[in-house]
Amino acid sequence: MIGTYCNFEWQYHTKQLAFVITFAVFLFLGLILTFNFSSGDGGVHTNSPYLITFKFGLISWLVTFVIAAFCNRAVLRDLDSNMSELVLSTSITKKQLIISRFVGVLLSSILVMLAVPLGMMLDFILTSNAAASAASFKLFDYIWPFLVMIMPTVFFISSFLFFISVVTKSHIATYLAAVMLFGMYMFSSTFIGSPLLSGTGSVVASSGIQQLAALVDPYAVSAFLQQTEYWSTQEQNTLLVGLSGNFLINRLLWTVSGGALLWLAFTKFNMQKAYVHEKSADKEVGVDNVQLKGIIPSVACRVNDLKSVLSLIKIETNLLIKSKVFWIAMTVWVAFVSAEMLTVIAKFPFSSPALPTTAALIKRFQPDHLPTFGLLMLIFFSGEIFSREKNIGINYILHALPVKSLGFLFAKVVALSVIPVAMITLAIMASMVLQLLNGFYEFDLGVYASLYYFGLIPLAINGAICGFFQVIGNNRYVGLSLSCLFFAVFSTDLAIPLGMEHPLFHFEQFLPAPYTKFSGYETSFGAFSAYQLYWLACVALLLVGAGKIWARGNRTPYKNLTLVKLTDFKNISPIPVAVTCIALISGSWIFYQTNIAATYQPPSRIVANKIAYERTFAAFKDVPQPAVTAVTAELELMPKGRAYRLAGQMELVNQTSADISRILVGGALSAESEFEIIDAKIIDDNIHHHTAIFELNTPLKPNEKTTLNFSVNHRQSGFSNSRPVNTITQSHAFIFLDRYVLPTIGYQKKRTIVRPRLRKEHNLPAMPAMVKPEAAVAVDGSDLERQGDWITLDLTVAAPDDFTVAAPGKLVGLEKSSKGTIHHFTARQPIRNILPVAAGRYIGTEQIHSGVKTTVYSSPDSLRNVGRIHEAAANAIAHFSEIFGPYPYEELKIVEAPAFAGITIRGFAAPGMLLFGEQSIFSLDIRNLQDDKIFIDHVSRVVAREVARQWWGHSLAPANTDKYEGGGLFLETVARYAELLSLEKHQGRDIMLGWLGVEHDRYLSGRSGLSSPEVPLYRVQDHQNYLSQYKGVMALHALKETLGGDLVNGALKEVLEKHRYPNTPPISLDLIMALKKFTPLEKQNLIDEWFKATSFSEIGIDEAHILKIEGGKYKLELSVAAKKITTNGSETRETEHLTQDITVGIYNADRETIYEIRHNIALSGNRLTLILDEKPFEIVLDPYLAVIDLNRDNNRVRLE
Amino acid sequence: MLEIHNLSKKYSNGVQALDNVSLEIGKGMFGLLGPNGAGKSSLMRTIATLQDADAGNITFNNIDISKSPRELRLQLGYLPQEFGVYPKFSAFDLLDHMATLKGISDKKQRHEQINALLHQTNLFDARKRAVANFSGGMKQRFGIAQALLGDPKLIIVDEPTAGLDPEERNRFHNLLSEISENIIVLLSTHIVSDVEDLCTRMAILSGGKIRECGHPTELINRLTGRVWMKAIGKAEIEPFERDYQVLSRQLHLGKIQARILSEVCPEDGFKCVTPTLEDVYFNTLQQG
Repeated sequence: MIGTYCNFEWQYHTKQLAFVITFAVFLFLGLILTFNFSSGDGGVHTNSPYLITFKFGLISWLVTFVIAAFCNRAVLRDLDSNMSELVLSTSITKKQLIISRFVGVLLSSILVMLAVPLGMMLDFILTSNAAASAASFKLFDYIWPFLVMIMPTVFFISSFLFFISVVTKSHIATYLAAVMLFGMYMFSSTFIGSPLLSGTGSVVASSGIQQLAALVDPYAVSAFLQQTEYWSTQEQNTLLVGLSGNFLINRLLWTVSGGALLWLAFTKFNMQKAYVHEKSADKEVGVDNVQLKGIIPSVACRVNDLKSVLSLIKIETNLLIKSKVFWIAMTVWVAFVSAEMLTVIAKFPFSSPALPTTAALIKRFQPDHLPTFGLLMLIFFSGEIFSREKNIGINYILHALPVKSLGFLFAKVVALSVIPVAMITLAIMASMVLQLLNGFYEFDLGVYASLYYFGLIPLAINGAICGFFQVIGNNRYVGLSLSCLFFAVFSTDLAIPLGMEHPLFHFEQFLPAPYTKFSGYETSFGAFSAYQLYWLACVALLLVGAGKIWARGNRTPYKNLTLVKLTDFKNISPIPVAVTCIALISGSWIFYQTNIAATYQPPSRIVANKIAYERTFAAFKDVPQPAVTAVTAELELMPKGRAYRLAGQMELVNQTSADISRILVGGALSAESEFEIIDAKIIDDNIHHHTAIFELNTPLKPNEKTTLNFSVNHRQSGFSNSRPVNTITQSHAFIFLDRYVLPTIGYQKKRTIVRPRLRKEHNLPAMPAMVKPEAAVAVDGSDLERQGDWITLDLTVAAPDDFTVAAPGKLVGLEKSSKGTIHHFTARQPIRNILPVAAGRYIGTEQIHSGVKTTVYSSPDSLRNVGRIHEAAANAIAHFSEIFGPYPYEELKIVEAPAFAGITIRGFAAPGMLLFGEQSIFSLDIRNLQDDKIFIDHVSRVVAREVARQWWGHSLAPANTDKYEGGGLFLETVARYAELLSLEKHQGRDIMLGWLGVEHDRYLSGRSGLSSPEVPLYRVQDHQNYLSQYKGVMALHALKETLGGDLVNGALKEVLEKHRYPNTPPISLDLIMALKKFTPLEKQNLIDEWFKATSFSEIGIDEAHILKIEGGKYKLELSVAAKKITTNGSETRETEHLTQDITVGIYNADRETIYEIRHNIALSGNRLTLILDEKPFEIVLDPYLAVIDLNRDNNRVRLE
Repeated sequence: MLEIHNLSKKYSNGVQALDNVSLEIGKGMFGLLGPNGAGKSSLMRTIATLQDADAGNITFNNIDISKSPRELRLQLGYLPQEFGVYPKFSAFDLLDHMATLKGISDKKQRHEQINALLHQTNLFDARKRAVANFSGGMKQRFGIAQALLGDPKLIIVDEPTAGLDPEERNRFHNLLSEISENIIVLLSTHIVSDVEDLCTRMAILSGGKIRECGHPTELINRLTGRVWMKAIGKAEIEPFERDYQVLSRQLHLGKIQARILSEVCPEDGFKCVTPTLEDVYFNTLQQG
């Protein structure tokens, strides 16, 4: 019998039109996702088990909402259709009912999810993709992840939502439970560092929290990412996710929970009560015997549309905020944003908590979570609000009232907007509470209020769109699906293939530029407002249309459509005319500002332009070009008009050994620019590429000079479809003169396609391979091409009188003029051509550290950390001068860059000048750090590293890193190493080691999923940060621990002295040579192993036994496992022999060292027996992180 | 005057709900009688501007309601056969909302009328309670109250007394007949006696068509002298059914009280009785 019931349920679900549509949508998603992922680079196959599993995880949270709909249909359909009593009076038992309904949900959900792998397979068959980047087809690669990833997830979600549906008997409560599951997933992703959250960045969390995060994610995506964190490309291509560790626990946990919830649902389900809404009917009011009390007073009726709409808004809003589900939704939201904001300020030992400033807190939810969660809520509540009258049965009464259809719809849209208003208000309240609890009382009310503008308006527009789809769908679920489909297409890049790539079509893509303390939202305020007005007008038009086709009363929506066409044109009402005018005017204005007043580059043309540039100018790749040796320029800032003008000369010198007769000059891309070379004529002026070819009247002989005159005019409106690096607002200007402003000389690699995969796709020849360090020595000898140009500078900056200007070079003059104050900067000694200019209402704080004038330029709101920044700069200058020699510049400027400058938390070093973003050192929370020694002071750490770059990058720069491998060692590795030295000296060895542990793990995660085999450190290329930064610092640290700090530092100093500008730039072999020079021969293989090989250790304590022996001594028997894994890209070898000795540290209960010695594990055997004077408490292998260990968790044992 | 001309409506499932319906309805109470599925509610909804007809038109005081539905809505009071209410709203607040939507802008007037209606419908004491928690009868009275809000010139009530006890029903009838002196009240029901008691004019609708229309007494009078009644055994009914038009058969004390329409006395023992509206109704249906 139960089989018949189950069969009925299965048929019931799968025969619905909505089911077929959902299946098609998931099939489409499977197809599209494959497509999207494959556009990335990679040696990882598009159909690798890793990517298949990852994509399953990605889509599995979407199925949650489908399951919610199935559960509602299974559990609540009898109630909705008043069938309960009929069903319950049949012979069906509770067991049969629950089991059949649940089986129906489960099977339908599984079938929907099966559409995903089918879509993927279809893509594999259909596209040429298969040939390019996919491996041969293996069915099991789809089956296994489906079994271990999807099935337990679908089972748990089905059980959970089934349970919620049974208990609450509410459609929306079930949807909210689905949103909550999504919240859990997002929350755990924050701690795991899911690639899905790469925009917001993950939190450096302790492994305990990561463990927890891996378990609480019911979708197991976090557990999967945790398991595969260190997987190499080869492993990603071949290995299937293993049922082990946290992944296994996660799957078991949620499967068992699912079973338990199903059981609970069964017990909670009461055949007599649970299947009817509990309603306490009032007592009948007795009919009195009073006879008719006269007729009803007559009233004056004159419809007042405004009053009607206000009354509708009042009642709609009331209904919304009186509903429990609304408050459940808001509670989920507040819990989620609070957790998100806590990640900003939470103090873990190595996290970088920021001060709970208003801007920092709202940044955690404003750009992404508010729009996403807001949209989800709007989609679901729109179904509720727009179908309410029909569901309740009051539609016939209301719709026969003399209220315009548009009035009804408008009131509903306004009620929908209450949701974002409440979300924003509650988020603000949560944020303020967090600030108060943190002892931070500076509430920036203006910034809070801005949320109602930048957050609310787009969401209100979204709400209107959801409403529109509810109207045209004329069914809650159809409307919901249409809304989802619309936002999936028009809020993402999926609209581009449909030919709608202009932002005018690209719905809601124009988001406000990030808030900055320097000029608020001014960067894009005008543009944002224009777009919102445009979209408001568009959705108003949609609403007017919806009002016409709305199924008022008992109508079918589209029948009216013909009526509109036939009758309405004669007496068209002023509203659609007005909104059409607004849409047309604002749309035209946007189009003018985007395409005509500014340079608009359609996203789809970017690649084509790059290809065209390469094809046009490829001939110049190997043509000798002069170097820029001096820049003299006048920069006039005109903040009021958001414009700047730059004019001046560049000195070009032929530093090659050949004659130069043609020079390729590139102008500023997004500005009007003109340039000319003295004694040269333009032979090809390519306006499209802003590039011209000059022919010199007389060829330039080696070491001869010529001059290039240039002028650049730029005005900004904020309408650009890409965020400009260089920005000028009414209160601030931040311009990198060397990026897109000053003319460029020669062929520009950055204007071409660099990614190998994209090149292959567009039939471009592969980029020439980079020169190996060995070849660089052999071929070029001392004639190595430098990293960038080294120039002398003479720069004047005219800015309003209340602006402070910071730029490279020495400030030699200040002079008032009609253009404002002229700031004169000069650099007589050549500096690298990196020329940021920051101008605004800065507060400059000046101090002298070790004879170096150091000025910190910060916004008036960021003075809190200035003292610490100075202290850190003083320490760094003093410490590094000791190690590397005198500080190379006269001055050090530390500048707070506005958020729009795109300077990340890492900071940026220019000659004699350091730039840090607003959310960086100026807003980190360093209060009470001194009191608690377990927390790292990131301000001092980051400042030290960037100061070190004044030696490593701005005194010495490696040979051209575009051409020669290994340059990253001098730009990144040494700076990171210097940072470590500073950490050890100023914050202690424990903090230094703790931080190194973070870098160690970053290296291992960085190398996972590489597109090409890992190269040895000395051959590092520009983009391989995981090597130059993290492995590099591990290498120098390990050598310092093994060979001694003096040796390593001495070698570095020698490299610096030998290769600093204007000497020959170094290559990585120079560093290896210098290190070897100071190292005894027998230990030199260690240097080779770190720099010239790719190897890892896997060490761990197998067993440890302690025995008390005579004389109060203890005998410790230790069994240690050790192996070394060496890979050369294609082949991996394992050996038992470790080159490096491993330190064994034994500590007492007070954490004092009892025993510490380096053992050569392989030589001394895997068993160690030690006699100790004291009772050991803890044994740690490699406590000073001198090896790269694939698993550090088994290096530590506590003895009971 | 409400004029309905050749109104037809077919639903997407193929059901012909209205088939060339024409009616002229003047002031007073007009009863619309018909079995379930006859098209009464379809006709009511179409007049109430809640759905469009496929053909034909309706004018109310010379306003074409398909072209100017709002004009009609301004003068309409409508009580559908089944309705629900917003949860958590009191009777007073809900009536206040509806009165505002009906255009009673003056708050004092609005409240006066609402209170009067609450008294009329005997809901005044329950005015602050949530309507959603009302019993069936109370909810129905609330429905009546809302239909009477404003000064409707056309009141459409679809099965208004369903769920009311006899006393309430009585009370409501009195109210309606008082109101209907100056306006049109269109009452749809399948309770024949309601129409007989209240309506000055009526129509019988079946299969989407108007089968009969006129004054109830007039329609009854047409059958005078032609309705015969006799109590007969269950087994004896068959020959009558075959040879005569049996209008109705009611069980009474184990026998069937058969009412037969015939120009002559069908058999000995049959008594010529005074026709009722029910006889008219059954006769019409049987002929349709």
